Amino acid sequence: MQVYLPIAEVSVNIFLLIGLGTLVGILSGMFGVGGGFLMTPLLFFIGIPPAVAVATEANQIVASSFSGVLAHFKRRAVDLKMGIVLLIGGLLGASVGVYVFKILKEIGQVELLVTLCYVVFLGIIGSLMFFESLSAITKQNRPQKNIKIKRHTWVHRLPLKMRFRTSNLYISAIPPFVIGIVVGVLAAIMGVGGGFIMVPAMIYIIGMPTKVVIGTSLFQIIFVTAFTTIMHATQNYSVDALLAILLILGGVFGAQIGVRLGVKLKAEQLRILLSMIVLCVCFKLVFDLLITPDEYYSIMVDIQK
Amino acid sequence: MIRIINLILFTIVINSTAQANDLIVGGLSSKNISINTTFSGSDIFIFGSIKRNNNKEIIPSDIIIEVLGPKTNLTVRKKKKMFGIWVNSDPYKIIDSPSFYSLIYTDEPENILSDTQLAKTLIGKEQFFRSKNLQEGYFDAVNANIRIKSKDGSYLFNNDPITLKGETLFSARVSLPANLTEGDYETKIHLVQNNRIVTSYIDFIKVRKIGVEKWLYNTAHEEPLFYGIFSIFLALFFGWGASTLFRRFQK
Repeated sequence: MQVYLPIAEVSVNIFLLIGLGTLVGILSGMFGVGGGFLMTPLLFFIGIPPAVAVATEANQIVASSFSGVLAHFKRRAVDLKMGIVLLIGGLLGASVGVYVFKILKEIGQVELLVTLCYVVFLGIIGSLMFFESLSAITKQNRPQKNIKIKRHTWVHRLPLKMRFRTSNLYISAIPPFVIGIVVGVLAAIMGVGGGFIMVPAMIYIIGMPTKVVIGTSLFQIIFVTAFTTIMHATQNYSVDALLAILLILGGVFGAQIGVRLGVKLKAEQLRILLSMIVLCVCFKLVFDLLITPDEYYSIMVDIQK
Repeated sequence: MIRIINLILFTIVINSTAQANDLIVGGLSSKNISINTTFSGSDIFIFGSIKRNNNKEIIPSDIIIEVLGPKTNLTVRKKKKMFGIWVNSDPYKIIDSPSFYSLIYTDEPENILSDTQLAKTLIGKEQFFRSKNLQEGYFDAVNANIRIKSKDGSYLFNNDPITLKGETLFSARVSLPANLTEGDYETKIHLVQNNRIVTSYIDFIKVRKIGVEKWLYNTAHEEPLFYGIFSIFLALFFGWGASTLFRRFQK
């Protein structure tokens, strides 16, 4: 059954969309990741215009992070003060990101920008994860060295120090603010939550305790992606509510299956599987940039005011 | 057949040049197309007859049918290889390009119309090249537009030929694709005799979005702030609703 998406203005099979939502939902449930970084490129591959894919994915992430944030609030695993600093940076970053997106859309380069961002990020993260989990599997029997997180780094010499009680930290507000900006820009340009950047940064750069990291990052993600959705809706008219709903329905269903599947697999196996999926998507994007296109021309209908 | 005849909306086009000339009577199987969420294209049947007013002789006749969608302005970009990757460059602006065009005939317009008639009526691919844009590569871009739109079913060049019965009755089919632009689609049936168009029957197909489709599209473009906030709450509602349902279902 075909469904006509009102904003994307393409007719797509409804089961393909729900299936895609389910597939990415399974992966996100299995690996505990947001899944935006997989969903957006998959939407390009099935013919959704990149501008619509990015904006709609931001909308979907709002829904998929919602129940997670509530659960973490109940467990008091959200550092609200840190979350707000990250959020202020995030809103600033998202504004800049949507502005850049709009300009590049007008000059016809937005597809290139989004693709290049994906190639860079998926390439780096996929290969890091792949080699790390590969070495973890081969060195399984040897005793693991404890990685020491340095307690006093350059981060602690920065001004504007603030006390974050929940995280038990007294550090400068600049690093979380800057991290927030980076994540905001990525949310606007790539249609991702940015957890894959933010979580490691919170642990290794800010030095937050792991138990509050996920809740605090979800708190930032839900507001930044909501803001990004509104910005894309008002600046680029590219949020497809119908597409978002179909992906959400599939995603919710898939996540439940994914969580059950994830329990049955070992952590290293899970990570190596995820890294291989990430690298496959990355190679497909690179391949599309390199091969000679069948059609050299592309058409865009000018928006009439 | 009786159904088709019933559907015919008889309209007589009065020919201004001469009373004794042949006329065309035409009709459309449907004058309104509604785009809803499950719209996946629609077939329109065009039919009619040549009304012979000249009793002395039967003049050999040809029929040309055109369906023109609303005109839009386009930006066409060509990909070029830069630093090893394919990148968009060179934008071309095409003004007033029909979003849909279908041309059906009993014989090629080039064979049955004189050159002056062709230049005047702009039937067929002629109309795409009337611009006086002198930008280098502009005509390649126009050709690319025709090629791409022919591929996705927006431009149809005699894909389903006209059947002409007994030199009078004719019928044709136009397959409208799923990605239709809203607006009035001008349908023209031309009667060609002696290398010129003697009369034309003109009617319109109204293509409109309806229901949820219409509401979402209009709100997104007219009230974008409200639409953005609405999309967020809609997403939250569906996400929360689906997971609640799922959990209850498992218990």
